[in-house]
Amino acid sequence: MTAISRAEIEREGTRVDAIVRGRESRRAAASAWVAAAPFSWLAPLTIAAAWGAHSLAERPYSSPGIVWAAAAPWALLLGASAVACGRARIRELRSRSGLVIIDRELHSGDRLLTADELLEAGVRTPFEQAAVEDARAVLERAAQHAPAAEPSAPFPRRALWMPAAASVAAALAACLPAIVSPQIQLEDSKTVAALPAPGSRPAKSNTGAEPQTPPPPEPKPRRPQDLLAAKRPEERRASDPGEARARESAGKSGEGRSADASPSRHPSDSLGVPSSQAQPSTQAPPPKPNAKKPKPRTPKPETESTKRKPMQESGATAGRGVGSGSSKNPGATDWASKDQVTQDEEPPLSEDADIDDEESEQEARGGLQPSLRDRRPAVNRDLQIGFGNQPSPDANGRGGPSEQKKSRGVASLVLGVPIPDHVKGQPNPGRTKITQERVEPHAEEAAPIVATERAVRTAPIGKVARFETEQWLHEVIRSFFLRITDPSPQKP
Amino acid sequence: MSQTQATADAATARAQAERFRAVYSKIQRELGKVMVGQDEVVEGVLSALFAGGHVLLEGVPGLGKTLLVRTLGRAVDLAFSRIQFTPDMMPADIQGTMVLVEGPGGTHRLEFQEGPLVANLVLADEINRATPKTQSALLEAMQEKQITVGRRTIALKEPYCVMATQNPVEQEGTYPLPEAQLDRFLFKLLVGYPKEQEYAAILERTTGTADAEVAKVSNGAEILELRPVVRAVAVPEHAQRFAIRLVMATQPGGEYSTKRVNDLVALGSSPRGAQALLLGAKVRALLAGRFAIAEEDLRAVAPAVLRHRVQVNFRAHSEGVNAEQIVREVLSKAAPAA
Repeated sequence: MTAISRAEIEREGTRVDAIVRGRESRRAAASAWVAAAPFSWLAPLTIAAAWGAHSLAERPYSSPGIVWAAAAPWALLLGASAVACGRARIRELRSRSGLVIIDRELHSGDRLLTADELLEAGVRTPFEQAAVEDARAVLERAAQHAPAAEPSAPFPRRALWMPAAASVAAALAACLPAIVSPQIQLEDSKTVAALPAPGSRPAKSNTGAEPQTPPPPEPKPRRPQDLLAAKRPEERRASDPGEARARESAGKSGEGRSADASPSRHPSDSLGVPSSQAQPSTQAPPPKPNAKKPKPRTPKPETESTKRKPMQESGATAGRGVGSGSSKNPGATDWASKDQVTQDEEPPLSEDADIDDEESEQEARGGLQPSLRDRRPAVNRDLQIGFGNQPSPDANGRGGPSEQKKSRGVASLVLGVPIPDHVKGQPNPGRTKITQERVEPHAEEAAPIVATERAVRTAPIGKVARFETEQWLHEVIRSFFLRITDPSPQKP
Repeated sequence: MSQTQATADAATARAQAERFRAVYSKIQRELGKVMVGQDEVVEGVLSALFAGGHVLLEGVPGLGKTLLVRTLGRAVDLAFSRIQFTPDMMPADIQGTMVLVEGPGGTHRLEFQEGPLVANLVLADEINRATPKTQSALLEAMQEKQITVGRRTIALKEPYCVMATQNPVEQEGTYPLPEAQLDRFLFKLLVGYPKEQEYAAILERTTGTADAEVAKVSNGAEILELRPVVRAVAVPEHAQRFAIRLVMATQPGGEYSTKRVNDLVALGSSPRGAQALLLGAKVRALLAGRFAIAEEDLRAVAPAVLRHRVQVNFRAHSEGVNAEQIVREVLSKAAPAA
């Protein structure tokens, strides 16, 4: 198989891309034509806007002027198409783009593009060499192949009749001064001059015999403030009889003045605002007061903290007191009552953080220890053993040896070894007091219940609390679970 | 490179490609004796075998998944084993374990007894019924082609191919495969119902007296020889770029991902997806008589390669969008990279 060079492939790609570029430019021109077609009406509109221009009024029937006017819409479209076509032609030719098109149209499996890339990078392996050689047959087919034209968008009819109609309209607009001017000549020149034609100049007769005088300057619409300012000197000069007469003669007819410039009797008229602001209007909504009315203060609902306060102060229900053991527990002794008294004097322990700090402080000291809040010395808990049956002088009945021995585990078993007894936990500062009473059990009598057959409940069960979701969330969840529980197999 | 040498190289490549196509066609023909229809599935399984990958077959029971793999094992004369996964299966059940063996003279010794993973063609039936612990035992076998039991590492013989099946329905009591394991499957092939005209052939073959004889048309050594041929297929720059952009387009927040991907995808494809795209496309290019992959090859294999690598999020589930649809959308919007 003969070798293939990259230049051959590039040449073919460039050829096809040139064809494609030509089509693109034509397509761009057509698109520009269609897009610019509505703008062809600019030509007659422009001519109509220049209705009073002297150049048109003087030469109404000149055929070149009409022809130019008729040609203007077409010229506009041609210009737009030419610009679009030129912009499309600016694009450089890319051989790769052409190769992609050939490969796609010949169903060659990117053989040409692959060969081009492999030749550019340098063929290294046998498979690459085979791939390049594979492109030979495709290249020969491509030489006899013209890229298929892509189906372009249909050319709309309005793109043709719009400029045609615009052309006719432009020609008519060019003739318009000649049609209208004879009627103007018949009218009084002063009346014609006084015709309110905002934005237009007074037309002139076709004869052109009259000396051309510059048109009087248009009275500018005056701002209300200017009118107001102008009125004051007028009022000041109202005492001058000569001026007043002249004004009267000129102002009664209202000639020579624009409607906007007519003096108003009241400043409020010229300002265009209602003279009395307080008058209620039937259409306008009543004015809103600027300041909002102060809302009536409602007593704030009791917050949770305020509600909880008395409960916390009570101590017993605040959760701090922990009842433990029996009535022999130290917590039920005078110590507790003392503590309760001191608690009233001290600031209340309203925050749990205080307790946490205390605990952490105790842990830092090596474990839980009796609270030092009351600054009282800890109870002596040394288990010193007395001599014989004599009690220890230090025994206070709460931990030391006594006649009635209170066993405390190992420490009491090891003789002669003084082991401090640690009481774990926090002493109960609350008012919890446990008393035990001996109560003789007694039998309780109850009426015997006759067994009856109970049927299924039929009465309504009442309102059942249910988690309410918003509608959209409900739909999402429902559709999700419907889909995941859908027994039909999903289509791939 | 001289012109003569280049021509000789090209001729060699042509001969190798021709041989590949011949072997492939022979195996395909043998499979066609048993399998009716399912051309895409057969092609995918064979492509994975030649590309050195594993396949995940998804389909309802009774569509011939097991039959396909067993027939393939017979046609290529490979050691075939089948594991029916259950929730109580342990890794030792599939990898192998030490057993006490009685030797001569009444002596006893511990001997390693290989599990069903030690084979060439492993059919992991209903893989999603196994616990993650057992599923993970497959990871090493699939990726490193070896299994480790205790201190013993056993290299698995090539060609080694795991073909796992899973049922898209009956998800109760299953353990969906983790992403790490899904990523190790080259293709995920969807086994669909046969067409109307295929039913007649299926019924004739399965309910009649004649039994299809599957000949051994190839062997493991030949497949191993042809694997380098697949890898030698050229990858032009534009095709590689297209594969990369395709994979990146599935990654939410990526440079080429669409808004829909950003909204509906939780996890996109990994670089393994791009590798799988190229390998699958290479096999397809060889079968199409080309020596370099093309964009059409990548487009053809992309659904099988990417559908299990894309994980959709809750919003996609709620809107009824699955990964397959996402991949199709990505393909339809992927511009040629030329």
